[in-house]
Amino acid sequence: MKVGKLWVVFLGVFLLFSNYLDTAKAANVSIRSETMVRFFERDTSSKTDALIVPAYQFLEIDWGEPGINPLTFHANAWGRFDLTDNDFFEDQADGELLYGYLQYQSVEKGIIARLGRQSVVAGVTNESLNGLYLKALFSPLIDLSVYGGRPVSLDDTDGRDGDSIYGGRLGFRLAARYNIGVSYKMIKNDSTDAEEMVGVDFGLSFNKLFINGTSSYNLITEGFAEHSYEALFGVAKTRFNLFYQLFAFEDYFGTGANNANPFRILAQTSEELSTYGVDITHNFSESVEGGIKLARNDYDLLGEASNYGALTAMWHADDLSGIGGEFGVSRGGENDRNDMLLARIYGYKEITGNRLLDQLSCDLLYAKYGEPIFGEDTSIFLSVAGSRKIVTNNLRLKVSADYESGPYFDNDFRGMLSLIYLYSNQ
Amino acid sequence: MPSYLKMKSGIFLLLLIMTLAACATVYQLPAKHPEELDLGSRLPICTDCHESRDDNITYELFSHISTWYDNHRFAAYQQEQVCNMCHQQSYCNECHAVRVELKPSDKIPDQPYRQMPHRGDYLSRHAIEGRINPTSCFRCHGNPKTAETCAPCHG
Repeated sequence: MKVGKLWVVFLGVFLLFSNYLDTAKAANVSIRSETMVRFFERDTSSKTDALIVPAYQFLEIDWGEPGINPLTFHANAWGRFDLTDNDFFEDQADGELLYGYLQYQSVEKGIIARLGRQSVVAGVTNESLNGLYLKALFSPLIDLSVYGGRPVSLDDTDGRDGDSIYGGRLGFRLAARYNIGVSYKMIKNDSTDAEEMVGVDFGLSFNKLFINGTSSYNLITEGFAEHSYEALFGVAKTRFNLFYQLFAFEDYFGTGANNANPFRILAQTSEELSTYGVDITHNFSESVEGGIKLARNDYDLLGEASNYGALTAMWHADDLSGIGGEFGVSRGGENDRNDMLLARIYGYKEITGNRLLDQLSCDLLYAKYGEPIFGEDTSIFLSVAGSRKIVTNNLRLKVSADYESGPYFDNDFRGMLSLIYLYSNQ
Repeated sequence: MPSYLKMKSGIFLLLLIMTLAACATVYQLPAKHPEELDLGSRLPICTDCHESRDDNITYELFSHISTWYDNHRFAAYQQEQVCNMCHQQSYCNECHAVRVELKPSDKIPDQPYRQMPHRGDYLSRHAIEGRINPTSCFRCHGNPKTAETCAPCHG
């Protein structure tokens, strides 16, 4: 959808609601606007090192508060206008309505109904659609969510005729101890089955041990696409998260007309990938946390395996200040091209009594690659950002500058200026 | 099953759900966290105030420890209403959306503690991480619209 049309629809709905202002005055209205201008240099088809200056507008509107007002409206969209005359963004969409839906929610009856563009997360479904979503809680034991409409992911593929998405999830739960859900999803492109999945997900808790998992089955390729399980438990101030995942490429990536490069080629192999490992975090005090990440990825047919290990640390103060970092190493066995060393350190500070800034943050990232990429085997990235409120707490100006040097960019500088406005009638 | 029968079954099912739900009176999670949380930059650890779980919420699953960014999938899948108590859909959309042009870390450079994905020179790193485990790329870039980010190089 072109940005112009998008904003007309967006504002039209908003103005329609405004007609009901008298009756809806009691409803909370909040608007968040972010206007952003970025500066960077890139090669275009006609010029080397051309200055690119895109301006972005992000807008969120929330009319009414779920749980307080039964009927609410929520919308979120962005659009871009290139302030320089070049073709850098020629092949890219210049805006998108991320969501825009009416919601009815009855807390007492346990009903949620949404109409419009929305994201739906329900078992095997994690999709954006234009349509209807209903969720109802029949009893403390059973809930059901169903949805239907047109998939946003296919709006540029083979036209819109015959595109549809529908499915749902039936959940059974025994308090917070055990819950299990079965779910189904069907996507059609041009009336042809593009993706049909069925899945089961569960969460079990035994005292301080929690086990979660999901398995999904591809009904078109007739094979299990994924098995993912994790176990969480804590010992004193240390938390452990063990995980295991198994993916069958033919069934996981094999999503018909809904598929896209670079994954289409992976769907043509019978490869299986298993991933397993553990994340450990320890709270040394209320403000200091350390962690270890260990993971292994094993390819069945290829016979390749890689290991990743990382140490993490984080400290924070009582105000908006803190520092943190991660040091990780990836080893790809006999193959150097998957070797990598990654080091990151970041900090952020709330500043009081300074005329220029009231917040400052910094992020430094260094990577070293086992095999050179375009002749470079290291990259470095530095980002500095500062912001301050202007006149009122509702208006904030943010400035950031990035520096990057590595295989793809040699001494690349980027800048960004953004103005954030918050309105609420609360 | 013929498509008109599927349609009729779907409509019947929806009416049944609404009727049954209208008759039911059951415990519902509050729409918002009952108390305003003033955490500064600290990530919320639910179990600082709550037990590991009660009859309605497994609080342990929702504690935002430093690995939360990697591991919040199951918690969100099973009880997304708990997420909604503190976050609007726009918060999730900063990473999970059908078409966002800016990397989350580019859009929000002043919150490095949120462990946003693709930070720094990810163009170089994505080739390595994609080879090691392409399934994590697929979750967000696996359909024609979200794969537009990949299209300039991967076609």
